[in-house]
Amino acid sequence: MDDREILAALREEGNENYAFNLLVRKYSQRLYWHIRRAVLDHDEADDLLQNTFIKAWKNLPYFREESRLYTWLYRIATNETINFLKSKRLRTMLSMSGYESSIADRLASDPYFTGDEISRRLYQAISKLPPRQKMIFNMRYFDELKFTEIAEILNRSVGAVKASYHHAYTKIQGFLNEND
Amino acid sequence: MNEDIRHNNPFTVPEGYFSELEDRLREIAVTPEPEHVGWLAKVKPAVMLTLMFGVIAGFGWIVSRITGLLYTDPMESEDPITAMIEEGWLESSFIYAYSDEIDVDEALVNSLENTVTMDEDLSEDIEALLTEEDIIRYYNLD
Repeated sequence: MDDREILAALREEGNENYAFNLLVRKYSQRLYWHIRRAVLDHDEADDLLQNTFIKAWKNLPYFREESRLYTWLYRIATNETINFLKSKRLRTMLSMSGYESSIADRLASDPYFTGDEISRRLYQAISKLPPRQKMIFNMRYFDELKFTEIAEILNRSVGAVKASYHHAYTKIQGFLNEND
Repeated sequence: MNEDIRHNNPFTVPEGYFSELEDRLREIAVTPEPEHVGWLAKVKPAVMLTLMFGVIAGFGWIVSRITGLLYTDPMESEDPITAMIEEGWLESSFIYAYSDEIDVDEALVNSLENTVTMDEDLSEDIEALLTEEDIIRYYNLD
């Protein structure tokens, strides 16, 4: 079922729950991996994904179809994740514990991470990026979204998104070369 | 950067996670949202608590007024000494001696030295118990 059909079903009285289930089934995995790559932890990703769908469910009556459904869902998920990462970064700064330095250890002991040493180093490098830059990098590098789509999701200009991505890419390369 | 990493997802999820997620979200979606609670409903418990406190305090005040009317100031009673002793304002070994078992020597000392003004009848009673011998012994008159 395509997005238009899902939206039509959502607006039909008595059909909302069925349509919502379709929406969850269609987008839960894509959104989950989008969030998970940014926060790394499964439980945190689960919480953020649940919040994303709850917000989507509550705001569906106000969705004007000015953007595509998946762009709108990505926007909610991305904003939720950015806000979470910002507050986590602040908490880490206040607690004076090295969040980034502990990423490699956390991934090494995470039962839901099966990557090798190279993967661990890559995610450690990504974790050093500021939240928004991290989301831009992930959307482009892993989800392979177009710059125009990322710009639409983040409500930024394409130029700003491109610059941010290349800046992030350079930083990550620099980190990986440094640790070779 | 390594292209393999880009397409190999190193993360996994607990078994059955996505189907469990669908069930969980379905449940959240069908659960009706709690009704909006207005400010009046929010402050109602506090108001009720304050009113209850007021009622209890008022009841206590009324009770204290009633018992206050029944209460007589010992200083204004007909027998102030006894009243003061009953109230616990005054302790007198003399009175205890008088009321329990009379020790003549002690009664003598008290009758002569106690600064408390005694009731006339009481004083007479005490004096009746004393012999001339007792008085002489006390004052070492012999």
